[in-house]
Amino acid sequence: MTLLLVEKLNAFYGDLQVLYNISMEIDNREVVALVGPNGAGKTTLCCSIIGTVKRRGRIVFENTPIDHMTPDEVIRRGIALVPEGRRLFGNLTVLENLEVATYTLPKEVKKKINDTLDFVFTLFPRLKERKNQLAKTLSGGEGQMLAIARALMARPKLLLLDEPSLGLAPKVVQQLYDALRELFNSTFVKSILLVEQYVNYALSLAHKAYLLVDGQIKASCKVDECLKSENFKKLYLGLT
Amino acid sequence: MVNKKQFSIARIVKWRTRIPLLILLSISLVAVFLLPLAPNVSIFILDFLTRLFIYTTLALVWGYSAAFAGLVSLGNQAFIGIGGYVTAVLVEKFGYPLMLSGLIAVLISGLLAFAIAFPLLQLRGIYFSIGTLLVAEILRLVFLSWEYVGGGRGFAFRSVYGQPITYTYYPSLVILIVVAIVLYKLYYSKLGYGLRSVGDDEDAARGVGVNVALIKAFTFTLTGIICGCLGVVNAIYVVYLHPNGVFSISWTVAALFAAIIGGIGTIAGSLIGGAIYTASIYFLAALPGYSLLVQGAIVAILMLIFPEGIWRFIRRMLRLQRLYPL
Amino acid sequence: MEPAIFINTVANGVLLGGFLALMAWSMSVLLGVAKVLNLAHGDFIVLAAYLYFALLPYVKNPFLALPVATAIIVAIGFIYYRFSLHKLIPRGLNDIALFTFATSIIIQNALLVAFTADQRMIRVPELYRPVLVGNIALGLRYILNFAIALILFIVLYLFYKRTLVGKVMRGVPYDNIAAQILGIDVKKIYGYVMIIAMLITGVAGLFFGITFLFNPSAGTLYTLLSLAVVVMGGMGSLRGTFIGGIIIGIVYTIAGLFLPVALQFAVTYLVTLIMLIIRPQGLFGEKV
Repeated sequence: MTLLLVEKLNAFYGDLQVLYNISMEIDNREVVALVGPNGAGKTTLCCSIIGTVKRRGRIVFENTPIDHMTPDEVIRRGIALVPEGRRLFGNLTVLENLEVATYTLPKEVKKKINDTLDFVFTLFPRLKERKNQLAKTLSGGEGQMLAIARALMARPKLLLLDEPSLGLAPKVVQQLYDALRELFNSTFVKSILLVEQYVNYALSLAHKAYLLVDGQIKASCKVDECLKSENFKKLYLGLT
Repeated sequence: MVNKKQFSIARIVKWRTRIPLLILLSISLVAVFLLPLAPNVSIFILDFLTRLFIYTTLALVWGYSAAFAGLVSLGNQAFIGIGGYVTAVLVEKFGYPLMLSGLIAVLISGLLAFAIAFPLLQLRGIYFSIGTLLVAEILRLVFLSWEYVGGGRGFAFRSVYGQPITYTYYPSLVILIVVAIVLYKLYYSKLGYGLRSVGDDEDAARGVGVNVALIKAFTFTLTGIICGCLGVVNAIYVVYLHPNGVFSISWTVAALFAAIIGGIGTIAGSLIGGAIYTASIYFLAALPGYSLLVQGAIVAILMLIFPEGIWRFIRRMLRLQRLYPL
Repeated sequence: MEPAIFINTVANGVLLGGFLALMAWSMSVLLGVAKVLNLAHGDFIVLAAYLYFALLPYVKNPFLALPVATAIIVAIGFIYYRFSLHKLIPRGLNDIALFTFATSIIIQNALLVAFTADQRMIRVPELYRPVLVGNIALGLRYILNFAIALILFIVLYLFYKRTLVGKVMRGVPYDNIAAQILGIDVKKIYGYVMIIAMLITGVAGLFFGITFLFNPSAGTLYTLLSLAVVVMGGMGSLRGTFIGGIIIGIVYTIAGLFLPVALQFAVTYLVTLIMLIIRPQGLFGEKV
């Protein structure tokens, strides 16, 4: 069953076009990787789905078109974004960052806030320890955990992760990906879109991958195929 | 691949509009210079033009510093006040000749700007602006309490009393022309590029080796010198100096008004804005209270309708950007 | 100089400081969340004072007019924001400065036309007596102002720390884009901040009118003083504004022992300038 369908999506920053006729599909219970070199437009794609960027084209989530919705409407439908660079509210505590994320959510989700917090703190015990610490005092890895936890407060069906490994040491990234695997297996979220510059990280978790280069989808494959494909590597490095 | 035909057409268009405009400009310049000599010329017009020149220059230098160097000064009245008082005091109390006093006043203004540039330099954006505002206010209050220069009773610049309007008309006109040319040349000079890079992204500029501190100091000192000149002319114009007049925040309001309404950082824009501001002052003289209300309302409404300023709007509508960047 | 005089002066300075904080909070809140420097700030307070003055014949007791006058000023402020100011926020400091300056001129002259240039005051004779604490004489109305400032501080503190909206308001200026990604309508939040600022203004206007004589052009001075308070204490910091107010108040009253009025203000601004240069973010502000 298709969870998210993107068809002929074009995105713009002002008059500058950044994405050209993007088409992709995310099924239920799937981790999809979106890889590509720097500046390819991966973040723009995430922002297009969530609605903070000017876009034209079809985006359908659970059979409802969302391409004309504002971010809060998209979030309420069940999609949440963990932005590139985390973007935490540094002057608020860990707990406050999580609370603030519930501001635009509908009552039913707000009521479950304690359950959501329980889940999040079980998934990331370190955050529980640092509950009342200011977000700007967190380490890189903890900050990333908080960013993910914050997105989870919306109890999303689809989680968009934009470069979670950015700026983190390999050991920390490993822990992060273990947590992501746990998250996926817990079925708290149905599917995950994982945007990464580092292909191997993404492919370790994903079922299928799309390659985005210069604003266009150049290739897509199931994970085991991607790893074997010479063509895939060439396209990624822009050698074709 | 450059299309040779397109290239030459653009050239023709450029000169087709530039030549008539240059002719128009030269004629109006000559006219403006000769105006006071014409028989039966209305004092009112000369008066209007004098104030126009002063406010246009003010808007030009303020806008230049704000739009290109990123230094938004809310305290230029400090230099107008200093320029005025130093000139008046040197003439009245020390008997110096007017020209010399004016020169010294401008120098002192520049030095003051240079001196306060350094502590204020490190401040960014709004903090810098507030700093300039505080400095101007402090000066106003100090002069208000300073008996030697008259304090709250003001200072009478007797020596210039009764002088013809040409005493202020020509100086203000010459200052405007010189400042316009200097700023225009500066814009395209190496220093100008440095200035604009600082205004655009200070850290990036520092990163490529631009001496940010020096450029900021230079820009602010230039502001001080030019506003000092305006202060000298203003002192001759008003004859009677009072701290609440020459150090008044309404100078900054005038600069903001003229520059933003007309089109910040542009010469034509400053002229248009200056004209509207000067005109509104005359309405004010006729109907106090209500007309200030209208002045404020005009600013508010024009700002909402023409966010980029009137001149930029005109330029955009007529697609003249490339031909008249300033 | 006798120690008693000094203590008296400092005590009065502290009380004055509370009053200055009361006046400055609406500027601080607007600056801290929406990053809007409202140069008509003092004029809104004077406008509020005139509202109370106008309502005086109908209520006799000005305190009873609090809800009505505050409601009116909130409405005015919100309409002002919704139909003009909010378009200017993305346009930056210059434009906001000019626009609020223009607003200041409009308000001052509208008041001039409506109420003439006569000095006014909201007379509450019961408050015009000194209270003796030890051998220090303190004005009753100043104590009242300080008490109100304290109450307001607690209310604002609880609002920002405990309510969800308050937390959102603290987060939004830190990272605008993060707020958008969470679906928060930033423009709406700015609208709420404007309402809060106007609520504070409504309260401040009453106590200002009770304490001082005012005329249409009184606003400019208070805009400047509030600016000094906010610079001293730190933009957008609640306790910063309070402490900043107290410091400015003390500097002002101590300067008053030695200097004439004009220089009294000059010294106050000079101290503020020094703080601005040494530590631009003020005592409690976010690091610049």
